[in-house]
Amino acid sequence: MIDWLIDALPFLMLGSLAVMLFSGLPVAMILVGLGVGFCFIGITLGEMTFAALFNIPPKLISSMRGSLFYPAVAMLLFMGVALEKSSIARDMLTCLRLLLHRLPAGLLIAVLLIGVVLAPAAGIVGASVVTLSLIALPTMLRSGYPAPIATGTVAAAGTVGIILPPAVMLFFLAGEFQVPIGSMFMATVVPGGLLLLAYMLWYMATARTGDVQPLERPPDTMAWALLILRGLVLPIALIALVLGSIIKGWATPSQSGAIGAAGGLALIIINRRLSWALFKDLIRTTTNLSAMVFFIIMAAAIFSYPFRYFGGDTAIADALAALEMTPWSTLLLITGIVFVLGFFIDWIEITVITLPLFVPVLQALTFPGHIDPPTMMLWIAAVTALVLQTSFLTPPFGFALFFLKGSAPPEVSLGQIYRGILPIVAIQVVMIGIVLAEPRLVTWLPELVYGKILR
Amino acid sequence: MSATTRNSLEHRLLRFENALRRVGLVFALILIPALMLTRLVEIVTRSLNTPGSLYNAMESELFLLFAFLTIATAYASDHHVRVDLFRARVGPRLRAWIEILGILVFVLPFAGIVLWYGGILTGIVWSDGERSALALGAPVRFLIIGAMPLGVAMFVAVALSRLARTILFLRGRAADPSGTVT
Repeated sequence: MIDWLIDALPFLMLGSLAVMLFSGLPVAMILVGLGVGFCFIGITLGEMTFAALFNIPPKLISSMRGSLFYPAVAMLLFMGVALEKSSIARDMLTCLRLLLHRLPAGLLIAVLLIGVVLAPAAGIVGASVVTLSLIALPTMLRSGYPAPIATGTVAAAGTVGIILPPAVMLFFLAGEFQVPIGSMFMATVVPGGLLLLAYMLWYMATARTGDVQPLERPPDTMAWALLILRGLVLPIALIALVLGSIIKGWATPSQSGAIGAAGGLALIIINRRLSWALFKDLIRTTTNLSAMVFFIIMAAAIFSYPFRYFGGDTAIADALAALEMTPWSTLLLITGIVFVLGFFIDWIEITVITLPLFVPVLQALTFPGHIDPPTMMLWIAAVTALVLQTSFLTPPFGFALFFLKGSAPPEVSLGQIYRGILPIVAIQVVMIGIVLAEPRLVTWLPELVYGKILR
Repeated sequence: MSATTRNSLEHRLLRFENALRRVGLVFALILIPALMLTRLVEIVTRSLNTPGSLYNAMESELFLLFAFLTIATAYASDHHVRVDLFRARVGPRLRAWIEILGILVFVLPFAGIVLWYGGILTGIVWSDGERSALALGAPVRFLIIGAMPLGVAMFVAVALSRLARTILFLRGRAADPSGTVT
């Protein structure tokens, strides 16, 4: 009886986690509570010793020392918040509207492009969806775009950035799938770029309304140049500098993060918007965001301590092995689980809690003739990024849709948002299928940049 | 909120939570620029062949301080992410009971262990006078290890204050704490 119970402990832990998540308590609180609680259960059953509790504080410390990327994540969050709070997004919108207003759906394309530049660093809890929705949605609606099309564009633009470098999510995916960060950054560029192209073609074909809102043109060439410099050249140069320094290896990720953070601050100073109030606001927002992320990572370490102690890692792998599935059905099952989880929990919890359970299973898969073992994990990581992004967009639960509803003008209904997102979800599903069928879309660019060697 | 007067218990608890939130922000106000400057100084001085590992150690210690000392700030401003699919639909009293149980069952045992063993750990490091592997990086290692129990103590203090406010709410003497977040 006791033996049976001990074998069941890892599954009981996961089951209690799944149930408790819906209690609405902070996720990190649930994780530390269950971790410590199951340590006590283990002690009662004689599986753990009381002294094992002494390991909990060192686990907290080692979880924060675990990755050299974590300080970089805090810095990139600062950069994202700086770009978001400094109304640089507004300048970009003005700038791109002036450049693209003759194109069909020019305003929609402008919003999609801003998403690419702004979203990566701010791709946490829908920050970019909210920013884009606040700055662009009213203009789009006034220009005569139907609400479903306008909101669909914002949702697509706000989420495509979380799979494009230097997205914070990619750091975590690279860590969990044990692929080099530079390769991870390059892996999603082609699929993400194709997605963006597909969105643009779709809107150019269906949304014929142009940008009919009157635009204030800069009075002279000098003003034009300044606007383009401020609203386009500098932000893109900053992102390119951060990305380039990581990919080319001139700087460690931490150094690139610090360059990004300082650059974000510099952009605010150049735009003459720096004030003590804004600086405090930047610090406050960065602190709240990163404390949220890192407390979950610490808490996940506390949860996984008894979980590993009870043999949880192997229990999951054994259970999946017992199903005797083909590699393809295993991969589809795991990405399917990630997709469904993405409805309910943020990518942070998925990457730090769920993926570690599946990575050993995924590493054991082989796809002979389809993709070679060294690059397989990179391909799976890129597919996971696409699946997570799609999950955040998919009605009725997609995270991004709720953030959109919360920040959209009140006359926009959730039903309109759902209708507008359907073509985008269809594009996403087709793209996931294409990337599954053709891994070279993922591996081509990293191999071009780094040669054949991928660790 | 009408019951809230300047000196009510609820008001004093809110002021206490806000004070702890600000303590974390003051740390962040120092630590975020420090993290940024450490790396920038390293980039500038690397041409002078300064050993880079010193900066790695410094960054790692500064980041540890930042991570632990800001937990309470995010809780006091209710920024720790919740899955609020059902939370939004249950009544305020059930929500209050869930929060009370969560703090009692999940936070207190965890905090007890971290404060007790983390305190011992800090004491050991203090009495050994142990120094960080790189002396210049962190000459006072016990301060960095001690940030962990300190950060968790601030977190549990906010949690206890929130517990008290939730109980006051159930007795009709305070506003709904899940509605007072800023």
